[in-house]
Amino acid sequence: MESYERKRTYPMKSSKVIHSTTFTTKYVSYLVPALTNIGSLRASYDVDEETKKMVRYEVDMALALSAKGFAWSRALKHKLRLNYNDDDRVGDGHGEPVTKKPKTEHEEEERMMCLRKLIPGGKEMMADDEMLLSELGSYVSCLELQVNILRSMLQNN
Amino acid sequence: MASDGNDDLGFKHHSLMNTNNPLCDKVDGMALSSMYNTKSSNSSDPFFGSGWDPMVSLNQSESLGGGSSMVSHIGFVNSHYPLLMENQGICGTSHFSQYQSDPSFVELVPKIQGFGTGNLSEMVGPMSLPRCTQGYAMNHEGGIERASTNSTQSRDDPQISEEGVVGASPNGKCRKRVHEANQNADEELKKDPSGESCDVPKEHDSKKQKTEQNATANSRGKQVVKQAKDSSQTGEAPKENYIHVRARRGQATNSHSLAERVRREKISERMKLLQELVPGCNKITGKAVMLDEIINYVQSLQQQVEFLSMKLATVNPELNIDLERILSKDILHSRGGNAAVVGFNPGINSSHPFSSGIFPGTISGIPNTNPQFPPLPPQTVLDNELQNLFQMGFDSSSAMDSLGPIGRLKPGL
Repeated sequence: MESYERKRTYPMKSSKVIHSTTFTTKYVSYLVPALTNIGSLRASYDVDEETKKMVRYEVDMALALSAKGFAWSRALKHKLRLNYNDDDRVGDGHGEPVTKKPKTEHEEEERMMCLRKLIPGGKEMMADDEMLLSELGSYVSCLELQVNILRSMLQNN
Repeated sequence: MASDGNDDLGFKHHSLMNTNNPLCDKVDGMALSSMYNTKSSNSSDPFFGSGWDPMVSLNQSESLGGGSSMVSHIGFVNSHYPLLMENQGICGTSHFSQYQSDPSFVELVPKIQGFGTGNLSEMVGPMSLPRCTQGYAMNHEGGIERASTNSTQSRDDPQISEEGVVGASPNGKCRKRVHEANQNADEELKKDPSGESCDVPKEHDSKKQKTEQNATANSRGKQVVKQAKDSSQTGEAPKENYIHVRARRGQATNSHSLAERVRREKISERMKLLQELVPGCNKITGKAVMLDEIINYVQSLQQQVEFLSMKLATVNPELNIDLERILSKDILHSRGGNAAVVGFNPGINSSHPFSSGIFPGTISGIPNTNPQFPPLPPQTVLDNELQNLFQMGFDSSSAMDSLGPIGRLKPGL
């Protein structure tokens, strides 16, 4: 009976605390073999669009996999799989190259819409501003980590 | 135990109190482990859950059928606090940026020590109640942050544990309600429907009566308790589990505007967190400007990722990743340490310490604790399993050093 009780150890709202170290190790552990794989597949030194697409895919996928438990990571994973299957260009992974900043009209609402476009899965968060903001927080943290990781990976070379 | 003892503990509103005298004793001074051991009786569970762990009642009051589920939360707390502390170590210097200005979080850690070592009475105090000046994370979110604010704010005395029980995730206004609760122990006891496992609705009932009686006598007379007006809405009580909001004098007290206020407060809490996350936003006041900054920041991060991944594609064949080096590079908390990629916003290289653990909720149950592994030759083929990484000699040197055994975190905080 106690074991059953102990299973319910997590609050109903599954939000997560991000461990930087955990995220980093997961990220690198996914990405490095994936890149090595790509490197072996594309034996030539010519970097073509396909390679870039593949790398971008792996970079995004590493992000999605390293930060499980968030709506944006699920949405990102979903989008990646869809896009990849369709052989579409994933782009920045979010479908919107650059979103112009809204002017003062409808100040906050426009900006929230803007943010929704930026975050993967943001369009599904139309109803819930709070959720959007908390997802944003985790997303920003993970993006920062990701940038640092990628940068240090490049420096090591 | 005499009723006086009950009052001291503040668990007045539990009818269980009368029947759980031995339990009271335990709560009063026994180690956590003994608490676990005594959990066998169902009647004790709500007591523990409510007294212990506001986060439990907070989040779970809707889902808690019985007190037994409370037990799990204690287990949860116990298992996750060490991770939480470790997380702080990882972040190095200033730990969580979110909590830089939040002493409550920092103060949590020493309390966790007490928790872990089984000093229950010590925990009861801090766990009890949200004087939520911070507000954030008091609302239905994961345990750690709530516990943290609890600990700072309610160090005072066991009496306050009543507050913890009463208002699992209240905002600052709630503490007044709790004081009222303390004054009317008898009434609460009488009115408390027995067997109700969820203490929040109970508190609603008791509060209603109390506050109605105290409305005029209330020394903090400016506030009118919402529940007093909604006395007929007992059924709605579960909806108010997360935030207990009071209508201020002169404000509308219908449920719509209060709900709206609750929502606005939640949003502003999150905005505060985001403010600490996005570098250079400390001085910004104003939602719209803040949102602009966030938008800019997210866009710039995404552009950086795009650029870096393209660059990565070009150097891909020469990939020579050294996991150890990456991890030991303190990317976790010193973005300034990296040589700037040309053309990129140096904002990302601020000394703003990296904030993980900002967002409330469960900690991923990765046993990412201390042991120092002997360095092994770096390998590039990695398993996704974290443990394999550890075997590889993942020794995030400085990060781990600062992490150390959990006990060492305490002085640093």
